[in-house]
Amino acid sequence: MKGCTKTNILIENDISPEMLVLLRDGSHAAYEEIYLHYADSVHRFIEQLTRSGEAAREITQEIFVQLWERRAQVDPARSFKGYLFTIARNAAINFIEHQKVRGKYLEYSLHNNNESVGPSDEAMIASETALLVEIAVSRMPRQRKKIFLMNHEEGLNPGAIAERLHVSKHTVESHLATAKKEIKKMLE
Amino acid sequence: MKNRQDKAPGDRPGTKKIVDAYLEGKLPEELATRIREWLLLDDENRAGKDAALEEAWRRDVRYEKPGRRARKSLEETRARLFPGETMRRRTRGKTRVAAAILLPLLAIGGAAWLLNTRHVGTETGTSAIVETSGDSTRQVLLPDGTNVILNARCALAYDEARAVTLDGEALFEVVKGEKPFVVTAGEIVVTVLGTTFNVEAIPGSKRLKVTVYEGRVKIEGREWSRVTRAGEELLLDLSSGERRVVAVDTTVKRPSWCLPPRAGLSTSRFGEILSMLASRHGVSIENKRPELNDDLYTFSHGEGESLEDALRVLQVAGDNFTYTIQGDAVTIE
Repeated sequence: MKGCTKTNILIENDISPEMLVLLRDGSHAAYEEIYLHYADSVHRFIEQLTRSGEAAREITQEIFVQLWERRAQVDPARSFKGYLFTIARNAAINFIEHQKVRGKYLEYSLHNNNESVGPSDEAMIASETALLVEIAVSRMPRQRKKIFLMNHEEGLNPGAIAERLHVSKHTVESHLATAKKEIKKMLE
Repeated sequence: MKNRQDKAPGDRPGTKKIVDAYLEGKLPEELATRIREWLLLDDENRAGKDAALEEAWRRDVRYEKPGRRARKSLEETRARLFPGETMRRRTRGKTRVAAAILLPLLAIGGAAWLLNTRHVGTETGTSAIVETSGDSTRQVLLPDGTNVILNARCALAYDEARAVTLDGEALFEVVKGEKPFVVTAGEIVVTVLGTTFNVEAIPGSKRLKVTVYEGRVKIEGREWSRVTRAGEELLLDLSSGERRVVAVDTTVKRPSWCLPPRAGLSTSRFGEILSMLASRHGVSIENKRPELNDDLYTFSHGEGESLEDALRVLQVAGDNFTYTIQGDAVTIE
């Protein structure tokens, strides 16, 4: 964004309040109009969220079934996208919970239920930090990732890593410095 | 501890960073699974997570021209919610008597129509949908003689001659005709008379790109329009609404993905490589040597390779520039 001139064109892609009044009053035509114009982008978003095309297909349908069933709660004066988000969020959570019940996520759930009292705020922040570090590490080039993990998880010093990987100690140190910089940037 | 919980969700930029990195879709599956559960099933900082998720939702979910998938989804949901009403829209507007007589015919027509929409990939008749998957591009000759090359994982629908809808990226070599050729891509409409241009409208992507190689096209968005000429590229950032026009090389009349591959690597212009690197690594690259933009490089940049690695390779290959990286800003000199 730096150095670019902003043109400030607002792209607000919400449906008209009139259409929402019709939907609230039970118009099939309004429902179908809204459905057709939002379903594709809703599907794309849910697919990004669940990493599954099949899940996206099911959840998208569920979202719009819910929209019809709760049409009386639509407030034409408020953001439609915001309302649809609430429905979508709950539909996605339900879906992932079901998947978990089906055993796909058993391992993780066991791990999670061990904490009888919910994790403390401190622990939460720690886990958020841990995720950020993992993201930064996952983005590192292979060699740097390897060196960083050898240093951090196996506790090897630069000299030992250099010996194992047949590279110079300087290379290892420079990779570790860059890795630290990348992580620090992620945590800023 | 108490104080921290009282803070607004925005006080934890890390939450948003994780959500954005996750939605970008490039994380390893194992990490992505853990983030998905942290995001949806772990109620700590629920407000912060919802806020980050809703921000992305508002950016990506939008009113747009319905595609084949939306129609199919609606058909299925309609069968669930309003069984027996699927013909409603088709008979509306006819008189009762006419409707009664026409019903068997319409039923046949309706079935044929449904069958037709399922026939993905057929190119006969006046309407068709062509889809590409995986990594292969595909060439499509439209009835009017216009040549289209579809990039991988794209869909092109044409309802009538010289009016197409594009989901993804494609190069159009449009033949001159009496009617203007019109491409609808996401929220923009591109109208042309006879030219070669590339449209990039990747679903889920945050930008739209139209590159004109020959001739002139008119690009219309929401409340704006612009005539773009050969050698110009219009970039529309869908989240900010920001539009930019940049110069492109037109000696090669095709974008790099349309060029024949060379030993498994693709040939790209230096300028294109820089913009790819900038978007891939979320940095801004200032090129103080614009004359290098048209230099062709055979270059590949794999997942997990760093920006620095890429720049080093380019520097060695080109041997005519230096680079400096300072945080988010890269300078080519």
